[in-house]
This record gives sequence, structure tokens and C-alpha cells, in this order.
Amino acid sequence: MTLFLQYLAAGIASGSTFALVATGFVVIYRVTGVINFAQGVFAVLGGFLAYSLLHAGVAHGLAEGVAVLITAAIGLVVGLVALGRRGTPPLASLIVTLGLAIFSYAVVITVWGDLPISYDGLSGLLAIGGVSMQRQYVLIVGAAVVTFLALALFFGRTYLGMALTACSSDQRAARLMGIDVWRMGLLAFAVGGALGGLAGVLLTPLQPVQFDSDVGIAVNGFAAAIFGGLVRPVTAFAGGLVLGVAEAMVAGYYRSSYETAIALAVMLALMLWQASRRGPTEE
Amino acid sequence: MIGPRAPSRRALVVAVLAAATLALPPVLPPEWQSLYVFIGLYAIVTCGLSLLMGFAGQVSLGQAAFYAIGAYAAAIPAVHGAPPALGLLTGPVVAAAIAAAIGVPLLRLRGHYLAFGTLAFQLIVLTFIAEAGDLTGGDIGLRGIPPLGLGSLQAVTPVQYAYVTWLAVTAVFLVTRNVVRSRPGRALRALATSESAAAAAGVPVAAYKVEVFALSAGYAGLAGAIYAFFLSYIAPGSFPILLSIQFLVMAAVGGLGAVWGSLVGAAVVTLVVQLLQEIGSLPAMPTQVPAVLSYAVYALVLIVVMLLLPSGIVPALTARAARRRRDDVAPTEATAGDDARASRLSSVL
Amino acid sequence: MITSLTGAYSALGTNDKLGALQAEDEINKAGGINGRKIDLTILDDQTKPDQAVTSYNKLVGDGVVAVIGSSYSGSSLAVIPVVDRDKIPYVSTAAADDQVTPVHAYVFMTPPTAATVGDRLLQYMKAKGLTKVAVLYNSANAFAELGWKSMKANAAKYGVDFIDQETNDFSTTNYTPQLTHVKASGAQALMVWDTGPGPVTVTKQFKDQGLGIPLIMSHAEASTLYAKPAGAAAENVIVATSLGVVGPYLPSANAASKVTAAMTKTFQTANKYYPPQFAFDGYNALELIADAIKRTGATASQIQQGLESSTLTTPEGTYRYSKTDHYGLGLADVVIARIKNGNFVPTAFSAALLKEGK
Repeated sequence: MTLFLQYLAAGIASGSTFALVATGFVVIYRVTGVINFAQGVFAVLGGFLAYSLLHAGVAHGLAEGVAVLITAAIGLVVGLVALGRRGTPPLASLIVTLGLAIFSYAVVITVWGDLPISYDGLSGLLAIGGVSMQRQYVLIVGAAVVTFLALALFFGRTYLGMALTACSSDQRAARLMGIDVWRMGLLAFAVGGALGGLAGVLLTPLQPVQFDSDVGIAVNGFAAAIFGGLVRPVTAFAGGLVLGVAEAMVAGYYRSSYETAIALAVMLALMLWQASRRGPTEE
Repeated sequence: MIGPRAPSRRALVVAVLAAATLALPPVLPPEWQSLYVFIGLYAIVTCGLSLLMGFAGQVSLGQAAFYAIGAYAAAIPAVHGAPPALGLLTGPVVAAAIAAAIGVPLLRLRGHYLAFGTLAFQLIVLTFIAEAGDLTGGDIGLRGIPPLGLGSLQAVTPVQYAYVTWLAVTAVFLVTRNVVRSRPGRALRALATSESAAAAAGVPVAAYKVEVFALSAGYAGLAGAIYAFFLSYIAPGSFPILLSIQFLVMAAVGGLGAVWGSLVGAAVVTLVVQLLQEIGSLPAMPTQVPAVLSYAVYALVLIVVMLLLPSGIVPALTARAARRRRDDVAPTEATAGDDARASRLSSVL
Repeated sequence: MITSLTGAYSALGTNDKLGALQAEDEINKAGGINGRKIDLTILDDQTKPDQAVTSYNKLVGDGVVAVIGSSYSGSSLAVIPVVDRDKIPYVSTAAADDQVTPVHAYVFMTPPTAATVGDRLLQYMKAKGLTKVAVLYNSANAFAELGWKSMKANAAKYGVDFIDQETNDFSTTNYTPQLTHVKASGAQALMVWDTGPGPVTVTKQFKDQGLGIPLIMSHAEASTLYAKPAGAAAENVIVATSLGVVGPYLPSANAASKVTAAMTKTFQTANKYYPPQFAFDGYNALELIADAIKRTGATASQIQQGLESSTLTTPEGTYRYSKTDHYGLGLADVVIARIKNGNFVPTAFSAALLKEGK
């Protein structure tokens, strides 16, 4: 039983990292309808920026915070390019974000080189009973929970959040209500950048990042986000947990080589089950 | 879809293109010969993807999975002594069969869900290949794949593979054209626009979607089969997710739903990458320049093309040509159709 | 030369290139080989097997007499069939044993084989009384799987029992389940076979989990690519290395010490950092080819003959290629090092062996 709980804890820990990455996808897609292929880049840049700041002697906490602010600004720039002229179709925007992701490789290599980096986060374990979790993971789980609560409140309760949501459901109606859809899109990209950066600064102490680490980070985040249809933050959180727990269970009770394949198969099965319940025509 | 006098002119263009395609391989310098093979292979895969996205309105982020399946389905029997030429059949057929089988449940997902489903499918396929070592050679790869051939007739050199590849390109394009122009083809286009409308009009939506999915997988499988014989070595590492994304990029850059778009997309992307590599590996280049240069310029090309020509190169060109024609002739069905299609396609993703 | 200047292995390939360029420069400044200068063309394989073949075809089309291969095993394994066909000498900088077992007449490799490294590690375990050991290997990585296979096959000879076998793949980020198993198994050490970010992540989590047993890494981790991001967590980790990596600690009695000192000094002056394993591989590959040309001539088949009769002392040790041995390095060229302050320092076990020249 202790073993099961240990795997469950490990799954929740990694699931929270996936969920945290997923938030960025959700915010951007929900508002702009663009799947941001550059989402993993925010995490990579967040990690590198925090690394540089820490090395320059900035204190922990402040360094990470500044890195997140900078990735928010980078998110804004990505949004400016990706949204392009008014009327750029989402497929074109998607390819543009992919282009920006590749462009970031050039930037990272120029500024930081092509070697992987990492820095120290919280060290040691938090043990309750026989079940333990690395402190850094505890921090991530906490950050993920807070982020999701904040997002749910933001979209559900605040005027700005509702305005953002209005853009996604009906752009014309939103415009008639006097909401600047384009500006809202940029705002979404900035928030998405900050969320990606947050995931990055928290993840880098656990796993090293290099210029092209964004793909691996983004795939898991995308998987979690898609679980909630890319629009529902809470379901995306659930998606992350399903993925993380399934992986940990496979690694714990079977063989870790199959953890990704089996976890993805589980997610697919759940999605197909959802689809069959919804009926064929509903998006 | 073409104006009344256009076919003859168009036939001439196609004939000239075909002749050039045939004449090229022997006169190309060696490294361009293998590049020529790859452009052809990518065009085949992209054509299937373009068909799937542009005409059936379905997205695949895992097209490289079928490329891989085709490669292994062709190579495994050949390694065990079956005539290699048989692989040109087993590659596409196995890929299409697997696509048809998984397509039935998978295509109940749509839009982004389907994109994820295909992506997940590829990751699962790659894990399977890596773990089924006895059959596939595992992650070390399958080596010693014999050259393509029937009896004493063997394709060994890049030039010979160029002919095999471009023959396949021609076959794929002809099939695609017929599919697009057939009754089911028109029904398919309706599918891309609105599934419920198509269903209401009596189109067997689910069956058609699975068929196109299988056809596009078959294309990828054919290309994968040729790839396996050409390189004589395949491994899970030869078919990364990035390759699937590259196919998507080629389809988008060339223009969805246009047969020629896949060719243009494959050629432009491959040539840009190659050119950057050549510049990057010039002797005078400092250490990190190759990487920085190739990433930055490739990215900029991608961004600029997609921002200026959001519906891709070929649709943009045809639209311009059509606009010029419109000066003396009344708007043709073609231009109206193309414009409408371009705007419809934007809703695919 | 084909190398990975872009893609996932660019950090490796770039150093291969720097090493080879240094060798070219040194040879040509010394008047070339028998009065003729070396002309080194470097092409990128983008860390992709197909691009490696394209680049190889270009090199052969340009009329090169020998090719230095990428440190990405996938690229090398894809090029080898064409090398067999064209009969062009091919000196690979990739670490997969399968390139040279079975022997391909024209294919050679510069890094020590995983089999050799595995044997040296087993010797170390035996000497340290580590008889019950756990292993974690990446089952989606050709190098790791081959290394582990050969180590497993020879373990009994050294009285080492692998009591727990764990796997991971490229996307594994949380090693808690595996480390939980290791802890429960009562293993006296954990051996890791993997490349890239995996080992760094394992090292950090290993430390946090406080297992309190030695952590042992294969020679894939013998560079700053591992030691730097792993940081303080890597302190005291045991890593297998080649001679070059521990160059500053080589006793002067060791045959490689003089060439190592010369090579690393030039490299550090030019690039401002100590050469990693990959730079030695690129450097040695060209030195080996040049040495063969000097002795037997500059056509493809003469170079092949020359390589098969090589006895050349390089910063990585003394290569002794023969008709049946196309990897050249032996047990004496593998060092078991410990990480101290981010540096690779020979363990007492290896220091003693180095003194005796074994």
C-alpha cells in the first residue's frame, strides 16, 4: 500500500509539471484559437533566464520572478508576430509559432551556448509516513494548484477574464461589445508566456534544459491541455494528473520504457470514451 | 475546375515538368541526387497529408508514424529473404491497413483531439518499434536491408532511386487527382467545410474519413518503403515527432488541398534547409554559426512565408494568376473555388 | 568529415569539429604528410541518419579519400552500408560497438567500446566489493542498451550480480518509482547507462532521495555536458572516462601523457576550455588517418591497410587497430574517475593502475 501511495505521489508530482505547462496552452488557445507551438520555449527561456540571474548573484525567488516577467514580455512579442495581420488563419499562426520556436534555438545558442543547464532548487525530501516527495516537486504541486485556482477565478469571475473568454466563443459579438479582440489575444500570449516561464523556472532544477528541450516539455503539456479540450483549465489539470499517475504506475509496477506509450494510450482511450458519449457532431 | 481553354496549356506545362523531372537525376551533382530522392519522398507524404487536411479537414501530427510503418513493413520481409520489390506493396498496404484499423476509433476524435491522437499514436508506434527488438532491431535499428530490385534488376545508386521515387510521385499524384475529381472527392471537400452538412446530404462521412486517412497513410507507407531501401538502415530515431511536424510545415508552406502544393512545399523546405547547411559548413564559419544560422534563417523564412502567404505558396500563386486572367475573361469557377477553399482551409486548425 | 553541427547532438558535433580542425592545422603547419597538405571538408548531418547519407554522398562525390563519421550513432549506422559499397575508409567518432562488431573492412571507431568500458567498471566494482548492484538503462537508446547488454554478459566473470534492473526512456522526468525499487532491492551501487539529460535528472533525484550508495555512470557522462548541469549533486559520482578527460592527472609515466598535454594546451588556448571527450575523438580520427597515409599511401585502399596496422599513441590512449580489431583502445585506456568540484579525478583504483601503465 505504501508503495502504491509512493507511486501515486510521484505521479501527482510529475502530473503537476505537465499541468503547469498545459496552462499556457489553455490560456492562449482559449482566447486566440491558436495552438502555440512555442509554448515549450517559454519554459526553456524561463529556465535559462533564471539561471543567468542566479549566477549574477540575484537571490532565489527574485531571480525566478524576474525571469517569469521577462517571459511574459517574450510572450507578448510572440503574440505580436503569431497573430500577424488581422485575419491570419490559425493554421498559419500555428506554423508561425513553430517558426518562432526554431528561432529561439538560434537565440539560446547565441546567448547561452548549446550546453544543457540546471541550477539548484529546493533540496531534500518531504516525507509523510512512508511516502516521500522531493521538496521541489512539492513546490510545483503547490504552484500548479494555485495557478489553476487563479485561472478558474480569473476566467469565471473577473470582467477581464470574461472578456477574454468572449473573444474565444464569438469574436464578432465580442467586438460588438467593444472588446478589442486583437489586444485581448496579445494579453493572452503575455499570460501564456508568464505561465510557461513559471513552469520553466520550477522545472529546471529537476531536469536540465538545453536549447531544444522545448519539444519534450511541450508534448506532455499539450497532452494534458488537450484533455480539457484546450479550453478548460480544470480538466487540463486532471489531464496532467492522469498522464503523470499513469506513467508512475507503469514505471512502478511494470517497466518504465512503456510509461509514455501506455499513459498516452490511457489518455486516448479516455478521450475516445468522452467522444462516444458526446455524440459525433459536437466539437 | 479549370477554364475551358486551360487544359491544353496545362497539359503542356505538365509535360515539360515531367520531361525535366526525368532528365534531371543523371546531370545533378551527387549530393543533389540524394536530395532529389528525399524531395520526392517528402512530396509523397505531404501529398497524403494535404489530402487529409485540405479535403477531409482532418489533421495529423503523426504522419511520420506511417512513414515508419511503411519502412519497416517493406524492410522486415526483405531482410528475411523476400524479394525486395514486394516491399513497395507491403509498405503502403500495411500502413494503410493499420490506418484503417485505428482510424475507425481515432477519427471519432476531431480537430485538435485528432491531432493529439495521431501524435500519441506515433509515440506509441516508436515505443513499440524500440521494444520489439527481435522483429525490428529495436532502437539499434534494422540494418542490412537489401537494395530494391526484382531478380537481377537492382536499384543501387541515388540516380536509380531518383527514378523509382519520382515514378512513385507520379503515380501518387495521378491517384490523388482522380480521387479529388471523383464523386467521393467532391463529397470529401464538403466534409472539410461542414461535416454535418455533408452528412445531411447523404455523404457517408465516417467511412469517407477513414478511407482518406488510410489513403494518406498508404502514401506515407510507400515513401517509407522507398526510404528503407534507399538508406538500407532504419531505426526509431529516423522517424522523430519533428519529422511529422516537418511534413505539416511542408503541407502548410506549399498550400493545403493543392496537389502541386505538396511538391512545392517539400521542395522549398528541403532546399532551404540544405542551402543553409551548405553555407553553415563553409570552412571559414566559426563554431556556433552553423546552428545559429540554420535555425534563425529557416525560422524567418517560415514566419515570413506564413505571414505573407497564409494559405501557402501554390494557392497564392494560382490566385494571382487567376486575378490576371480575370482581366479579359469573366471570373472562372476555378478562382472562385480556390478563394473559397483557401478561406475554408483556415478553419482546419 | 560528417558531424552534427545542428540538432540534438550539436554540442558533441561542434567539439568533434574543433578537435579535427586542430589536428588538420597541426599536421599542415608541420608540413603536411609527405609534403602534401590535408584538406578537411566538414559537413553537417543535422543529427539525422538521412542527412548523414546525403552529406556522405557529397563528400564521396567531391573525391575525398577518407571520411570521419558523426558522433551520432544513428548517422554512422546509416552510412556504414554505403561505406561498405564504396570502400572508403570511415573513422567514426560514435560510441556504438555495433559499428565494428562484426568487423566492416572499412569502418573504424575512436571512442572506447562500451564492452571495454563495461569490463573496466566491473573490475572496479569487484575491487570495491560491490557485488550486488542495481542498473538503470535507457531502453530507447542504442548506446545504452548495447553497453548494458555487454556488461550484463560479463558480470558473472567478475562476481558482480545485478539484482535490480530498471529502465527509462527519453521522456522520463521523474525517477521516483525506479529509485524506490533500487532502495528496496538493497543494492550496494547504482549503475546508469544513458546519454543526454536523463543521467543529470537521475543524479539530482538520486541525491534528494538520499540512497547513500555509490552512483556510477558510463563514459557517456564524462564531459561538462553532464557534470555542469548536474552541479553539486554530481559530487563524488563515479564516471568511466578516457585518458584524455583526466589528462591533468595522468602520471608522466603514462604513454599518453605527453601528447595529451600538448593537445589540451593548444585546444585550451584556442577555445578557452578543456577539451571534452568529443574533441579528442575528432582530433584522433584525423591523426589516425594521417598516420595511415604517411605509412601506406593516400588511396582509399592504402589508407584502409594503414589503419588496420595502426599503433598510434593519442590523447585517448594507444590505438592498436588490426584486421580483427577496429576499435583499437583497450582496458588500459579506460579510467574510473570520481567527480570532485566538477572535475574528473582518477579514483585511487585507477590512479594505481595508471602508474603501472595498465
